[in-house]
Amino acid sequence: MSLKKYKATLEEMINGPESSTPFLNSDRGHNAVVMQVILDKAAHIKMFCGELSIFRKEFKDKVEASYPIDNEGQEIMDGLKCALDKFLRDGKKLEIIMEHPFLDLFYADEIYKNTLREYSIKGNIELYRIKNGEQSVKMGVARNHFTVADNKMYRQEIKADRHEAICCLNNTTNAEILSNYFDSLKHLLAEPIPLT
Amino acid sequence: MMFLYTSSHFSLLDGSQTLLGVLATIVILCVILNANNPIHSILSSVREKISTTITDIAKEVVDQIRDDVRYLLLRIREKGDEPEDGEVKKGLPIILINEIQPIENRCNTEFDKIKGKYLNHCEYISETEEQTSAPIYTFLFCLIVFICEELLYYPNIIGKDQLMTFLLSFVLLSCVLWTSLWGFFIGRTRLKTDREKKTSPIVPMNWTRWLYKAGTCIGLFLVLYVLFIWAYSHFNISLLIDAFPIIAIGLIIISSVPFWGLRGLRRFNIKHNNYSKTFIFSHFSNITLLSIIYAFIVYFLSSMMKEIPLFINSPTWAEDIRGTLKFIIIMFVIINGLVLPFCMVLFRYNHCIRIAYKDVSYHKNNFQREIDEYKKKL
Repeated sequence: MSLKKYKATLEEMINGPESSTPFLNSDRGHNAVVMQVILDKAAHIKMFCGELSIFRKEFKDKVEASYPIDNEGQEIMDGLKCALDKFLRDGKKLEIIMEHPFLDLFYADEIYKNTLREYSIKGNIELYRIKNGEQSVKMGVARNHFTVADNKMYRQEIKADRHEAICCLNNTTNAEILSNYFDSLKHLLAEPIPLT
Repeated sequence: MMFLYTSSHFSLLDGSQTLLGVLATIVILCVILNANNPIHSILSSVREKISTTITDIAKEVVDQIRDDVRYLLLRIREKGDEPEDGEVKKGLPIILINEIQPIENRCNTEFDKIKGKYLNHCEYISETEEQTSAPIYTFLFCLIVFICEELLYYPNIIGKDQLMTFLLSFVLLSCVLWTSLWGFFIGRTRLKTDREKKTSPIVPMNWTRWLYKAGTCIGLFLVLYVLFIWAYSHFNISLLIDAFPIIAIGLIIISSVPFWGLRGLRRFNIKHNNYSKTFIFSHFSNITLLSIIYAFIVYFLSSMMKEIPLFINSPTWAEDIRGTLKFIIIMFVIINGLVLPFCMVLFRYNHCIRIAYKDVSYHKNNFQREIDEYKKKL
């Protein structure tokens, strides 16, 4: 399924009666599309991830390689960058907890480093990392990563290696569960990443 | 005359000075929470063990629930039909996944909270003031006892009766203070299981309840006093008269609870470690001062009411009470200075792990029930 069509379907869903219907998100390209839709519509996003791969060059390259026809992959990734810039420019809030953050958080990626750095200093982005020894891989069965927005939209991975996730654009019950989950991670297991 | 002591060389401790000196030396080692404190060293290793156990039991359950949820998701994927290309994948399997995945999310949240709650509580117990305050108070207590012992021993010092009354009052008040403090320690460090919390909401302490308690104390004093007078006038029980100094001090202490106890009680009604060493030093000085006042009150009462035989005039009373007082002093130093700072904390760690097991088991059963329902459906 083309990414453009996928995005159009989601935009149709979010405004229609099917907004509370859960759907599957099957690969990196779909991940980028859902993230773009969430960034366009939400005001407060909470993201629990491994290493913030969605905002990294490697991720962009893989999406572009998977969707080469009509430069669809590139278009979607550029759209994602624009959506993130607009989201932060509008003063909205993005909280991120990373399970395995890179040490060179702001310098590893050419595309997003300035945005992440600038808005972390401004306070629009709050960056946390899971404390040493509390990472789920070390603790046993890994935690599923997720993004939850405005207590109603969410995307939660169910197969991390394939970027397969369950998503919903309007389900307050499940979104609140994820939001509480995020808050307990933030307060109990995470620590702020120092801005160097 | 209230207390008559007959010997010019009066020794309260009578050969137990060395024992009390040794105990005071051991007690002084326990006033700081560091590696040199033998009690703290043992309790630290107990705490580490308990923290590991709590982490392990929570991890075990979370892993099991996560495994079960993943297994269910796998089965749904196997059973579900793949949607045709060109559609956003929706349908019954996705709805089921969307229902089951939150169980794992709630389980993660719940067990992260449980782990955090119990590890924080263990840390809170390990830092409680009582562990160091009790030895500090006990050491000061030993100093007062040694000073009194020295004064009692000198033949030419006057007011030894009052000194004995002071010591008796000081020991009794110290026992009352530390019984209350350890009682509040137990209350403050008590945990409720999540099941108990659901069934019995916490009722906050308020002034009405404190007033009720104060009223009960005054009522109790009046009842005890009337009973005492009635028993004495009807049965002339000599034991009552022999024990009257203790009874008099006890009644005065109880009657004074509304005046000095309420402030203290209000300060005990704390959920965190917000009383400090200053609290202990101020209570030590207050108790010393109160004991001096009580000694004089009892002395003046006995002088003024000689015709009412309510005050002791047995010449052997001081000798009789000496053995009991010495026993109480030594037991107080051992129990409050060494045994309770260790046993109470150990007891609370034990309580913490028992409640943690109950909570883990309660939540595990709840999540397991939900998963079992989906297993049946599938």
